Amino acid sequence: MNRNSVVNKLRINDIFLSSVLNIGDTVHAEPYLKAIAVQQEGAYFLPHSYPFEHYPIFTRPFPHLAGEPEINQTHIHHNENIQVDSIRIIGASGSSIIHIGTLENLDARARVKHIRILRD
Amino acid sequence: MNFTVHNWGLNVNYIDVLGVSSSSILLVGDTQCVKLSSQFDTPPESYIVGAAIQGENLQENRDEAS
Repeated sequence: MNRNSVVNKLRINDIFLSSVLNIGDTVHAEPYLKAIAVQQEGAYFLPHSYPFEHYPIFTRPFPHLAGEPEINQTHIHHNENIQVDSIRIIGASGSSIIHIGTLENLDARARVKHIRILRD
Repeated sequence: MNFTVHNWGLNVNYIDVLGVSSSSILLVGDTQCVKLSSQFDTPPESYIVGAAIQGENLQENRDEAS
């Protein structure tokens, strides 16, 4: 049996770019981020000048652990609550999750390509 | 492997986080299986100096960069 999560105060300024504030229980979460971070002098950016297809990082497969290790575990909760008095978060961005409650399965993936173009 | 966990109490007074980003999670609660994978690259060639910012130059730089 899972414990309850008890939060008194929760303060978040910004939830941005398909991020989630989840208060309650979840069975399966699979956040996924594909991003190209371009640092370039001059504020003029051409649209579609950085397509995802041009970079192998967005097609390279993720390595995964083969086979589940055989573990039998028993958890005995003498206190049924997880207690947090207050939480302050300035921002959540890029498919991330702020989760208050039980989350069974999380399979989060992120692919970020950084490009810096500076004039000499 | 067998193990037993006795959870007596979990009390946190204050959590102060600047940011939660790129498919990460701030979890207050129990979980079974957490799998976090990320790929990112900042190879040397992603640092290009002296690129004039015109359409076609971007095209060439990007071919070099990938």
